[in-house]
Amino acid sequence: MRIPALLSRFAPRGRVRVGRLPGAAWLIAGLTIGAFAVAAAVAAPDAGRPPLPIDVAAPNPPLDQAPAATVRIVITIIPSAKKAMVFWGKKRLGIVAPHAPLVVQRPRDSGPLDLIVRSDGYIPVQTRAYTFGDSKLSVKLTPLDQKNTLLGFREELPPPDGGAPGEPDGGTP
Amino acid sequence: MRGRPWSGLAIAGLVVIAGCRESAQLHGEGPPASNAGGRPASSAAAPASPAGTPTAARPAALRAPVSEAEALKPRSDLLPERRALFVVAPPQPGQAPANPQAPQQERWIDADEAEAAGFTLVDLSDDWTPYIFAEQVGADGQPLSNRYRRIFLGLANDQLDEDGEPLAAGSKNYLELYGIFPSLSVLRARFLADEQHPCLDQENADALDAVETVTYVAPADLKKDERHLSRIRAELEDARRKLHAATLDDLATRQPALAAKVKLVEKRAAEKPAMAAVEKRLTCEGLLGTGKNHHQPGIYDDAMRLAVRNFQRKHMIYEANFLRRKTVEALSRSLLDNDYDALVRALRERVVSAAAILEDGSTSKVRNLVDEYTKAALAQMGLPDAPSALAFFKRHGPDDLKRLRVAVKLPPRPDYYGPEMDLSIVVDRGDVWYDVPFDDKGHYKPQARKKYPSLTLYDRVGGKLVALSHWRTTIGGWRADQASNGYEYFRYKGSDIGPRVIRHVVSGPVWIAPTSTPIRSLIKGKIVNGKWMGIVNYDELGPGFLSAYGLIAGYFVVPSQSGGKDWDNGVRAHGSSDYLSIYSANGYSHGCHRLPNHLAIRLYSFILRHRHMRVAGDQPMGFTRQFLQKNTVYEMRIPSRGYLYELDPPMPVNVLEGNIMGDQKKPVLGYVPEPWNKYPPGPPPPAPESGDKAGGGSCCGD
Repeated sequence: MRIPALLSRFAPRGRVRVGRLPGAAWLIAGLTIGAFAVAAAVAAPDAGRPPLPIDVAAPNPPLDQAPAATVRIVITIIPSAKKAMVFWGKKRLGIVAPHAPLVVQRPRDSGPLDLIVRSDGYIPVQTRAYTFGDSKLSVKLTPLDQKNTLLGFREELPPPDGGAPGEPDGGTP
Repeated sequence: MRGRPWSGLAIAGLVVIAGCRESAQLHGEGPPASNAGGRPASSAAAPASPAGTPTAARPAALRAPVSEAEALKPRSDLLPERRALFVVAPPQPGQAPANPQAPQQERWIDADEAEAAGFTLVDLSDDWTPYIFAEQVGADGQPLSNRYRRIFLGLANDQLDEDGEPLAAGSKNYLELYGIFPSLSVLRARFLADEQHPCLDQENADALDAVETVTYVAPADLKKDERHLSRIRAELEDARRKLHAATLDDLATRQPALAAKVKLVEKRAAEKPAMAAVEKRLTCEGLLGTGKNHHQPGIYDDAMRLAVRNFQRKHMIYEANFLRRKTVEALSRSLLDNDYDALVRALRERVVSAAAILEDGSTSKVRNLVDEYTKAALAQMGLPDAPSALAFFKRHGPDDLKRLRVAVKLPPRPDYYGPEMDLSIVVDRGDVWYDVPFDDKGHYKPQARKKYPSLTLYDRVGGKLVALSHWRTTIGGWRADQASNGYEYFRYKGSDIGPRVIRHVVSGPVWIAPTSTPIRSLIKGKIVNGKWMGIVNYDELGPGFLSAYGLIAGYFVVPSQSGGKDWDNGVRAHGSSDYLSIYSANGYSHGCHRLPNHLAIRLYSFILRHRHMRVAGDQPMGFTRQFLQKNTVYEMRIPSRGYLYELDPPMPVNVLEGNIMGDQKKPVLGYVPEPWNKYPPGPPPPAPESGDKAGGGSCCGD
């Protein structure tokens, strides 16, 4: 990474638009989207095709459908009952409230967003959102006391003396 | 796999192939190779027609042959998409046109007619990519877009950084060493700027000509080095006085035992003005004194190191990050001459792509088509030297370069060319050491190799194998591996031997780091929106020129004999930015066969265009994995595996065992503790299974 290139990141390049849905609205929106999704699945000719993974936009939109200028990134956490703050560098993007995702809009193909998700009692998570297309980002949080369940956890080495008594007693066994 | 009968593989391959043929729905359509060898595009077997491309994909191929006179009629009325530039009377070397704007030397002609008349169209457009990143269209007319194409173009045009974010104004991507050559617009800007500020300084040039290299002295060792030199100087001066020698040279002649010391002192004396000349040159070229690191004159400090690295990247110099021979040589040349070399390198890739050739003189059995065609194209384009190139760029501004193709007549290609060549790869592992490379105390034990690993592409012609290219590559060796207890051990990660095939070729590939990858290599620092932070090292994962798999990879697999899934032990032949691992004496991989990115691009572009294949396109995957480093969880999120081309039938590969050196005749399979590390009590955890016990080992885990 070149330093001038890094400095350029200080300059504003397209605003991040952030929105948050209240709990009740989230429930209504979820039901509505679910109903539409079922209807669409029935109507779609390729309904049998396996769905794309959750974080991936279809790479080839139909020719007659111009892609939107912005993409929508929906950020949720697991466990969903918790609250977390999402940071993009020095900027706080917003809060993922209990059962309420954080919705971020970015210019399409404007490069990835490297995010930090912080929640009290949990280990902070560094993750990445892409701007190829609309996506959902579901971030699993790990409680502080469950560090040892994560890949990369290292048990502490025992002390150099291996736990032997500090002073010899001078006797013979 | 050792000893597995090849015939069985062939049969199994055929079973799979039959299935693939039936299921194939899409065909690559990308930009077809233009003519090469003077055969009209309408000839029945257009030799450079991309394999798998239906004839209908090339409207020009259906045209009736056109006479040269007809094709060369001026057509200034045509849109840029339909025209090509033809240079009527190319200037000879040293005869740059008096009037750089002279339009009568060139004319626009009809591109399709030119192709029909046997011309090759060399694409100089700013939106050119090698074939592997070209826009492809499926049989249904839908575009099969490649996620990395936009970034590749942005990098080549100095518009985006490696993440695809806008590059700061004035910043440059110098990425030739990593396989991405600057666009013609970038080179044009370089030529025009360097004409205004040529950095010409005879004194500097003389100082640099006086040395071959400049000795590296670490900043921390400067005083020690100076004391050492002072002692030698004093010793020589004493000896000179005693012998009444007029000069140190005289002393060296009269006392040969001191000749080496005299030479050292003189060399170091000459290096001082050379170092000053390097500083002046790098400053003038805008590479030194522009960053945040302060440079202290005369010292090879961080600022200097960075400037030299950028200089080496700008001029595609494969050398360690010091003032070695090629670097000093380039520093002593004029800016415009270096710019011209950059133009030749960029054009070479375009010519190779236009003619769909590969033979680069790396084997003596076939013509060096790359060199031959590049020279022919440069001559016909009227670009024999830097002044003519400067004149060309003055005639053709950014608007022209958005879409510019040049028509040239290239020499005929060899007869073995055809739409479906019988290609195969042989990797020779060369000298192989299985011994642990250090003793119990952690002292390094050298493992000399006389024969280095190589990768050769063959074409079977009339029952005989003809080597088309022969390049140095890597094999696996001893590498750090992270065990299940979170500690790093050494492990032998060899390269599988025996017959394989390449079925999948992936451009912009992504490396799914195995869980045994040391965590430290999966994290990097980056300024994100104004804040320095640790993030997942996506440079290493890809897609990108720094990725573990480089810009393109061919996957070595053993086809299932029952028609099921291929057996994949994670070994690939792929591009790499780690060129020192390929060319240095101690360079090894994790089992893969690395090539410099630009050669890997040429290799796979050639294979894809001379064998039947289908374009499967982007391979979405939605992979995530979390890992812990200190007090942060890092989440790796990979949206796509890359852009897939499927060779149909797959291409045979054979990996030769090589010469087993040392005492250990079989690879060590388990973990070996690093002598300099501390570990929990007890033996190391068992290493994960690596499929092939003959020395193979999931090179990269994907």
